[in-house]
Amino acid sequence: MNRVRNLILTIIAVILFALFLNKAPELLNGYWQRILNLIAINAILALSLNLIYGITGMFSLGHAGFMAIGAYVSALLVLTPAQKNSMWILEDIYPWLLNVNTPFIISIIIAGLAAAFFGLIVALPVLRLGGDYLGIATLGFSEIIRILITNTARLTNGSLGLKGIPAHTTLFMSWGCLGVVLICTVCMLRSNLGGVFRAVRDDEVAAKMMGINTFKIKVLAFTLGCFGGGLGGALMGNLITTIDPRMFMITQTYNILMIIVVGGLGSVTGSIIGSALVTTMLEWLRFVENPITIGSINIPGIPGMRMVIFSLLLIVVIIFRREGIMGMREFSWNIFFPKPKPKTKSKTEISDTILEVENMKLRFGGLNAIDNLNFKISHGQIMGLIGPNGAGKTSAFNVISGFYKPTEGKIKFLGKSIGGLSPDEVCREGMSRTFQNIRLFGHETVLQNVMIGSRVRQKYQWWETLMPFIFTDVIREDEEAKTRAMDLLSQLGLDEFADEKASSLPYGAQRRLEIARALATKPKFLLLDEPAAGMNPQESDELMKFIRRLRDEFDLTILLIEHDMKVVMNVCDYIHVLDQGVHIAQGTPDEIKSNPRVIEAYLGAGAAVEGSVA
Amino acid sequence: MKKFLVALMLVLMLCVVASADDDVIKVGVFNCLTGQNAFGGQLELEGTQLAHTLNPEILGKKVELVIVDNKSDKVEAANAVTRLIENDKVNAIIGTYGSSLAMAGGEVAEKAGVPVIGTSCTNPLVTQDKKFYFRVCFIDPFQGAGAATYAFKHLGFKKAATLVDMANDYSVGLGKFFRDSYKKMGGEIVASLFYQSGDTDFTAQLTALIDAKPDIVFLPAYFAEGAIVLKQAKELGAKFRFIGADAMDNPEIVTLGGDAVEGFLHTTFAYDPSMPEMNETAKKFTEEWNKIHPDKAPNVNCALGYDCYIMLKDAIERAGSAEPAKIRDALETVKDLPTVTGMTTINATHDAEKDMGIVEIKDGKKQFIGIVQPEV
Repeated sequence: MNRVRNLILTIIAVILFALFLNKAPELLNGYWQRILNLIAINAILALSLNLIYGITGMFSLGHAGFMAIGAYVSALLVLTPAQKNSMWILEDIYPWLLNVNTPFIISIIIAGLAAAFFGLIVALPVLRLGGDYLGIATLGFSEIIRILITNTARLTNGSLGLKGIPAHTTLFMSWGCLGVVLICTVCMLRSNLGGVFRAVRDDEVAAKMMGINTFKIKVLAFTLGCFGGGLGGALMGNLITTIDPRMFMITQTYNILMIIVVGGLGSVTGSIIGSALVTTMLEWLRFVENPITIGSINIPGIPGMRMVIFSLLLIVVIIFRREGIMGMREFSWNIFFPKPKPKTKSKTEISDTILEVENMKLRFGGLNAIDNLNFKISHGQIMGLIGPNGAGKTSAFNVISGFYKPTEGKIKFLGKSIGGLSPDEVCREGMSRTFQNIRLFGHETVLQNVMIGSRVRQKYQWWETLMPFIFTDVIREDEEAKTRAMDLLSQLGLDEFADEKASSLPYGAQRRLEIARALATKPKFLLLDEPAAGMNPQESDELMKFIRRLRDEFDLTILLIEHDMKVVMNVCDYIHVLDQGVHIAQGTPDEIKSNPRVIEAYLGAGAAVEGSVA
Repeated sequence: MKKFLVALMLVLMLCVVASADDDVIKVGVFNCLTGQNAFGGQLELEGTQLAHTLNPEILGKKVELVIVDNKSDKVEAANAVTRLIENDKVNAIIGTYGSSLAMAGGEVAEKAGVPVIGTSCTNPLVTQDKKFYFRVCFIDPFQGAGAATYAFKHLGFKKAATLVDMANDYSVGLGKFFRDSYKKMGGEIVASLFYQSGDTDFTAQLTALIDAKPDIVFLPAYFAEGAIVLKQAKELGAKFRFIGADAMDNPEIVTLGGDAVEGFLHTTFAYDPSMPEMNETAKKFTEEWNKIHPDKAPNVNCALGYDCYIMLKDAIERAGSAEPAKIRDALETVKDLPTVTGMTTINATHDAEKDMGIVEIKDGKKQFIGIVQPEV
């Protein structure tokens, strides 16, 4: 119902805006039309950089380079042979390039694709870096592009630049492009894939464990962002009608960065508002550079004053609204209407499970983190893995779940060797885990967290999310994922929090949410890393019941690391004990309680004589 | 805080009260007042302002200068010209330093049909296929050939080299035109080296130049890099001479360069305060300039800014109207107009045909050597 209402409202708004654009040549003078054009182009650029930086969390400073590629590709395609002939006055243009000529629309699409192609080439090696390194590498790349353009005069006319590009960027063209980009971006970000992008930003490790190939996702987001950069650059070139390499210096990237910071990192709405605000403010503030007369006081115009005031306003925004105007929120028609209550239904699946670990060793340099671990878990078991601090329990978890590669040994999961697979591949095989220190996607809602977990079981491709109205399986699968997620949440008693931010939940609920998210990947085998940590005795009693219920209701096999001996002894069917990487004991809880080696490991040699652990 | 911001906005908005007056001729000036080219842009603006102060009325109408900054940025340049035409409804426009900025602005003016007079945008592409763009400066091929003529014919140097800023259209163009002319005259180009705007270490290029043993090196640099090149060449003990172009025409060259610039030559427009024989316009300009700026000598940028206004005034008077289309037609027929930088004639491609001067730094002073006719 809401969806239909919102769709109608959106269509009405788009029609009204289109009518306005149609009338714009009469209502506005050329100056304001130009600014309107710039707003649309800046919005495209901001959206694309926001996809890379704000939404997927990759700090990129290379946007100017991708703009340059787009602007040049498009310009070279739309210029006529006669124009090209007269412009290459220093060196001759390549003959094959001279006669290339395409319509404008095709040229901007090729421009976007070219930028995306270069984006992909850069992304493959560079996205292995993170954080500041990525920023520096992309910054370097955009400088390389600029210098290449300057030095390949036969191709680009070097520093002389290109001029006389037909002014194809009309209001309908720029806003039309923005419209398409906006619809595709919003559709993609609203689909579960959007959640996956944000998940990679919030916690890459946890995202991996949700079966997400985070590298692929980052390459995808980066490449799509570069497409936007190329498209924006092409439109910019066709608006200004002349381009040269110096247009695409680092300051160009800073301008876009400024827009998304002001608008809100990670908010599509913010990018649009930010570009409208920054573009108009910069032009509107021009009057402060003109001589001003207030009463009898005459203030002479000071060049550069505009930037001073603009910077001051920016500082004010940053001080009073650090997250930008929109933060991470988005515009939705729903803000005008009261919130409806969600409904849920349920259904689960069942299957078989066995894990076998054989002679597993893990060494870090000279340190034997795990020395020869052997165990088997059969279907439906709850197995405990205990040991004092530094025994290698979490290391064993990390090896099984794919974060570390075992130095030696075999790990067989459901009869298939998984040693050396990456976490996301392991997850796809049907294994999931929680973390000792909770790793939720803090900025997402509880429901989104769980839905991200189900992405690994969805079948649609990323490009389908750009046009969900054509590829309806996106909507259907997301709907199913949502139903399942709500179902999981209600089973774990979290349904009341569904629309709250994950980071705002109480501690115990966050633990349960992490489990719910793990269950959304439809695992057959679940690794729980200290689920009782930080719980009071009453909470841990509930946890014990909960773990048993998990096994029964979801037909799971569970491997548990836990320090709380009460939980371990009551829940586990079988226990393995590690001490300093050595597998020192195994048995039923009763056997372990009275095993002298275990007592020695926990309490020291002298304590063994005094009796049992628990 | 919100209230404060709203109040601030209101106050700011109240300040913008535009006045519309039919008896005023509005002349827009768009130039680089901030950004990397601000140095040249600022001097040109001061030249234009001086001309305006001396000639506040044309055809009995008051002239109003509307000054906008283009921040040495293409997008801003196009915006600035659009603003001048659409919001301020100017009759004509003067500007700018920097050919790429002129091209961005020129496209807008061309569509709107408002004439523009370029100050020092010397790239041939600026006026190419443009009906409304003119300039008071000569163009790069002319200046490159002039420098080559002076080096080959007047100084008798047979071996030359070029050191060019690869990222600067002005420099790349001049370097190429110099090499072409020099070779046509029979000279030998022994080395052709490059750097990038913003570089500060030229040791590698200078060492290569020293090895190539040219008699003279053509250095079509902007002042920022050019001054450093001269300094480092002196430190490395280079024996060849340097000849630069009009962008090296800077009143502060001696103070900044010290004895490293001794003997440095540069081509420029036919004006320098050290000129022995000035025409009347130049004399008046120099006198009036010195009155307003007693501690700053004028240079060619100031002169070109001044000349733009003089040429515009002449066109409006001959047209008998400040209508943009009529000004344009009158500008096309400018012939032997006395300007600060010599006699100006506008040719078929809207470029100024005028004399080219040579300046040499001698005994710690800029000295105008004379006028050169490019031969090839």
